[in-house]
Amino acid sequence: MTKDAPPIYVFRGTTIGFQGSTASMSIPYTCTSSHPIKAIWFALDCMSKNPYTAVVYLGILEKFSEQKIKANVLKSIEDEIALGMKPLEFYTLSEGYVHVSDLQSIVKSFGFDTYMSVRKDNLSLLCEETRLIDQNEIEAIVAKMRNCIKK
Amino acid sequence: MISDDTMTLTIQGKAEASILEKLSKEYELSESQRWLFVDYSPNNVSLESQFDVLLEGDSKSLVPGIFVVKVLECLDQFGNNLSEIPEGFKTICKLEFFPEVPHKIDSLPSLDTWRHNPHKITITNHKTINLANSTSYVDDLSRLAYYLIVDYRNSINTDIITKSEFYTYLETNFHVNAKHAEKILTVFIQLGKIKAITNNRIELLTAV
Repeated sequence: MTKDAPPIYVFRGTTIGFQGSTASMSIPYTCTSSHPIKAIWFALDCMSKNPYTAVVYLGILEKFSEQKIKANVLKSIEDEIALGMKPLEFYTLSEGYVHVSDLQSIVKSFGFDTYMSVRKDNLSLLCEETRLIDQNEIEAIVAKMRNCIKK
Repeated sequence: MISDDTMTLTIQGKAEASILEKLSKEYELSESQRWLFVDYSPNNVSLESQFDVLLEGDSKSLVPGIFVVKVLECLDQFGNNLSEIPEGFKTICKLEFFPEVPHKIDSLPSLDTWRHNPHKITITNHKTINLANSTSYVDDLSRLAYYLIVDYRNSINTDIITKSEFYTYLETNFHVNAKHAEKILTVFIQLGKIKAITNNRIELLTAV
């Protein structure tokens, strides 16, 4: 969770162009996180089935209208921000994606060691143990992401 | 250790009535039913699926007893009713237990959200259990194998090899089968020791 300002960016750890589960297509929403490190955990989890296409998408929150942002009434260890649209629509409106290995390398320079073996059964724990991140760190990470982002 | 392709649900704790109220849902339960926080699902699990094995904690010790557990309802974090528990989703599920709710389920903590619980209960079905090598075995083997692979890299004077060369190396030196070799490759990529270049070519990296 970021500790001060409201989020500017959202991050989605997934695989390139993943259209979502049947559930997210029938009740359209796309889950993202305001915390880039937590998005990395999800991308690394995807790696077990898709080692070559695991990525983190970057979105700018203000590009999504307020009506599109769904409230999660429960506490969220993922710093979740859900957008009321299908994942494919999110990708179109996003800034693009960065391969998870490139992002691991970027965030390492900010003191985040994300070289971990991630599975469904340790995702919750990793999210809970990830430290807070402030907006300045996020801005710096996003600036570096833009050097290797793909659309 | 249970393999990833086994149908399992991991119950982190109980969802009390106030949680269902927040989601604008009816709490209604019979004596044999509970609303429970279920961790990220490794598979799609349809409603009405049945389970008969309870395993406790990270070590997944068997909970003795004869149980049948049925999935009755499934909600996502917004209170949407789902027609199945989707792979990769965390959910709140109404489960029904026969002949009664096991003590281990009622001993779980009441939670206000999904939270890691080292004393979680994993439910599965004896017909679908596939055993896998333990995570720590794969992680330890990965660490050991890495140093030998660095030597191998130095001996062949190239950082780039094919996946099949990598698998053959592991099979020859560690007698691991192809499936486990694939899992070790994934761990290596997650740990930043190998970079996937194409579907078949990988680059061995120096330690990160």
